[in-house]
Amino acid sequence: MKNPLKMNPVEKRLLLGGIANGLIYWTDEFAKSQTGYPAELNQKLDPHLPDYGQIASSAGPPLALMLVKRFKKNVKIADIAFGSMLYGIPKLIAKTGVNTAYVEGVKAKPATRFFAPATPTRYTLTQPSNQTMRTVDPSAGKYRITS
Amino acid sequence: MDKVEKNMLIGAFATGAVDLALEGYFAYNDGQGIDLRNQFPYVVIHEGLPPVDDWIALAGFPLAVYALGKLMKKPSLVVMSKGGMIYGASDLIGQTVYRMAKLAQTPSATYRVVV
Repeated sequence: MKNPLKMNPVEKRLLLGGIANGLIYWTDEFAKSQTGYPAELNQKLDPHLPDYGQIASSAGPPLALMLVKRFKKNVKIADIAFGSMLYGIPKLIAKTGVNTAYVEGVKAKPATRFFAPATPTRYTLTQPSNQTMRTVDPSAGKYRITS
Repeated sequence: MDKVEKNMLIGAFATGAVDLALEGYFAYNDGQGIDLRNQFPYVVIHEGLPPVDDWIALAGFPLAVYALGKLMKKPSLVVMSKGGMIYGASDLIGQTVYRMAKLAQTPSATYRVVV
């Protein structure tokens, strides 16, 4: 039976490019939680877009490799560059979509209602403060208790 | 770009779209203040591994396309699935390394001070 995990050298280089870009992206994500991470990389041009760090880490490696490929025509570098692009560009689009979904979710959030404290009316069940409790003789008044 | 490269790119974008659909649904509800954590498929089996929705989108979908391509004997689908697998495997590996690093950073030891 043919081994489904067996890859030819071109596929191995494509996977290498993709994994390298993936590690760069997630290293940037990890670095955000560390001290010394540049604040500028956390900023966004628009709330719907990824931040500058995410753009740099996902689109940067494929662009850099393609620039290298332009000057140094090497099939291996071209394969690694394409593999990097197979990860970086869809990741950037997916991240933009996720940010957009979050922003739309916030917009669609129903407004919080603040319930005002109940104003006392004559229908309130609480005892008004200007009256005192008194016991009424059951025999007094309009209705008499017969049993 | 030749036909093989185009099919690979289509596969990578398709896998990204499935990932976007699942993550986008989570993010939309998160924006509304609805927490979908611990609800399928946003469950985490181990803190060091990506959640189940990422496994479904990044591994399950390309494997399904691969199986479909082999079943229907369509080489273009098989090539698309390889593009999707490159995207999926890269993201799963990267995310696993990220989560493991975060886990290693989190202090887990408790100290008891005896006075």
